Amino acid sequence: MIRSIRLRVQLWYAGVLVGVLVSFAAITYARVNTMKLREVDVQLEVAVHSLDATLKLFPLKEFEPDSDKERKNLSREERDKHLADLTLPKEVEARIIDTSGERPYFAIWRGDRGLLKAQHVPGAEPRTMPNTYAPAGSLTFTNVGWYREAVMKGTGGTRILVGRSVAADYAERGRFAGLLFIVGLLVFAIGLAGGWVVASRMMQPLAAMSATAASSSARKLSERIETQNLDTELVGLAEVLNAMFERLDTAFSRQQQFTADASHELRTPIAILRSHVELALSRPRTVEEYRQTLETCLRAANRMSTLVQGLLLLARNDTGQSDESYRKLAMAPLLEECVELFRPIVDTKEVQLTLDVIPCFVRGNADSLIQVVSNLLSNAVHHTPPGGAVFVSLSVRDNDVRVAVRDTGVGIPPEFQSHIFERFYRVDKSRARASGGFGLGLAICKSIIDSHRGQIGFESEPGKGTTFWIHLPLKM
Amino acid sequence: MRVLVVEDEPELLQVTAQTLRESGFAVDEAADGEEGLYKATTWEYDAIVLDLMLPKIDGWTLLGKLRKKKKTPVLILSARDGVRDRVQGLDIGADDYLVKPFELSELLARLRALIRRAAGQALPQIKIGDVTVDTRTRTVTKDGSLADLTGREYAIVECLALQRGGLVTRTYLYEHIFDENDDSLSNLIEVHVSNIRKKLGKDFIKTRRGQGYIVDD
Repeated sequence: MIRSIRLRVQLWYAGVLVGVLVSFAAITYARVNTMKLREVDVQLEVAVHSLDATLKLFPLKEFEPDSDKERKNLSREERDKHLADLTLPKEVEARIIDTSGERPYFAIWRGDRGLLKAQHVPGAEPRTMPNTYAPAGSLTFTNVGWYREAVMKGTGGTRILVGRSVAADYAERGRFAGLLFIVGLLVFAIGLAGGWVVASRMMQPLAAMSATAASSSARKLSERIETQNLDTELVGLAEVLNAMFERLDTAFSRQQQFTADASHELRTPIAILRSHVELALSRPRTVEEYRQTLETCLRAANRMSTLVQGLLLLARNDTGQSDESYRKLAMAPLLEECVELFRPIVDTKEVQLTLDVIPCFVRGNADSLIQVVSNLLSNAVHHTPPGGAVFVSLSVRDNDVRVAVRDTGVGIPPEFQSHIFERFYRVDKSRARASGGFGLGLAICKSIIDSHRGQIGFESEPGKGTTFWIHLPLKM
Repeated sequence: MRVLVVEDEPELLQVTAQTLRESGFAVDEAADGEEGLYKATTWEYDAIVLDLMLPKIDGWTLLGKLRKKKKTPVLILSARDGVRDRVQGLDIGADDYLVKPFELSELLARLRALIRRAAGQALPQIKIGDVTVDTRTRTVTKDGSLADLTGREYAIVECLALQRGGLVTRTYLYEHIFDENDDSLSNLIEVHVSNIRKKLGKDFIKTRRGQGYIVDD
């Protein structure tokens, strides 16, 4: 299998070209050959008929030397003059046998030299005899060696045989074949070269496109293939490539944004840690000052470890967590456990927390799912003002288990709704330092639910509340 | 020298402010962009330390709005270390860019350099007659021997030396030597000036009655 389109196109082209040239040459050659033979035959036919016409005027008998008395109309001189005038084309030879008299008579003409011989020859027969049943006046053609011969029943029981050498015609035919071959080769060579150029030109836009594709490195993903001046056949390909660049570009800038955010979040506690230690060491301090510095450092270290844990969890889920740890889980006790965790917090905050469950099972990792529910509960409680309520419900729809966490909180402003599952995205830009949020909670929830082949989503009405739901495949 | 620190991270704001105070700066603090912009446009600072990712108004916007009104030197202190971020920050009108985490000594050196350059001084040492003010070590020598100045006194000398040859009003001194939390008495400057004169010579600081002070050769 040839892997170059250009070469393949070229080979097909060459094949077609050879076919066309060979058939053209074959037809031309055959036609020219037939015409040449026909020309010879016509010449022979004309010669036969003019001889036959002559015989009508002068029966061969009259050529006998001793039959002067039988001459009817013409004097011998007149007859000879007539006969001498009857010249055949110079390459044509003719023999006539007259068997109508008592003795067979035989005559030979040769081309422009006229009558060579006219005499009695016993048993002289033409080499080719006309078909016995052939009507008078019809010719029979034969090839004998390099000769083409025609024979005809002539006037008064004569047989007229004419022939000529076709060696020269054959030679000419050979030369013509040679010429055809050379011209054919030439046309083939020119055609091949032209085909190569055409094939190359055809591949040029592809080459240009692949150059653009090759040159778009990570830094230049914003580059696109120009589709305006492209041939219609290639526009589709270019658009597919451009769409791919677009997706790459988006993915890449999302990745870049993530790295920038992660490094920002890591740098800040490092900066706090480092600056506090540096300041404390810059001069002697009191014990209380050292204690404060150490407390600050501990807080910074805790913050870093929380962040690193979150990032590691995300990275693990991104690379595709194996489901070896998945077990058949009863959802109701799992939710009860989560809700119990939040009892002390909701009691102090005066938020009502209710749970409504039915028995059902899913397949998954208990710790991960507890983390998801806890995150959702934590958000709900956090954003619900005192006196509000949080409802956790478990239900089964079709083949999905649905967990819903509904609150009567502030809701999510519409302009933020499409971003809240993004990593490091915070609705509250003051970064909610008090609650230690990095903007990873919902991103982690989503990655866990994704790896459980579930779905996560929400409905929110600003001022009225938010419902976060997760759907997990039901395990029978 | 009075400096404004705009930083939303409380622990980083505190440590930066304390470091600057311990190095003799009068420091004002702002915990978000709105407060930062208000203070930066209201008071005369010698320099501003600015974080980029701030609540309410981000650092770039703050800088853009500030530059329409004032030329106060600005040092950006950011965890964003991309070349594009630095270029953008400097192009909007920042005078320097430092990436977190940073060394406090580098922050101090860069701030001193910014203030010095803004005042038209290229070298950290300023010589006025037989008095040399070293902004790097925050010391003053007269005839080669170290003068024993308090922090405030040094601050006044540095302020006047950076404006050498120019009239420095009392208001200017108040604004650049005390921070927003100082409950300064109006005659405090006079007390400090007279103490400086005792240590560096009577003619080192000249008084323009009712206008202010001049330090010159």
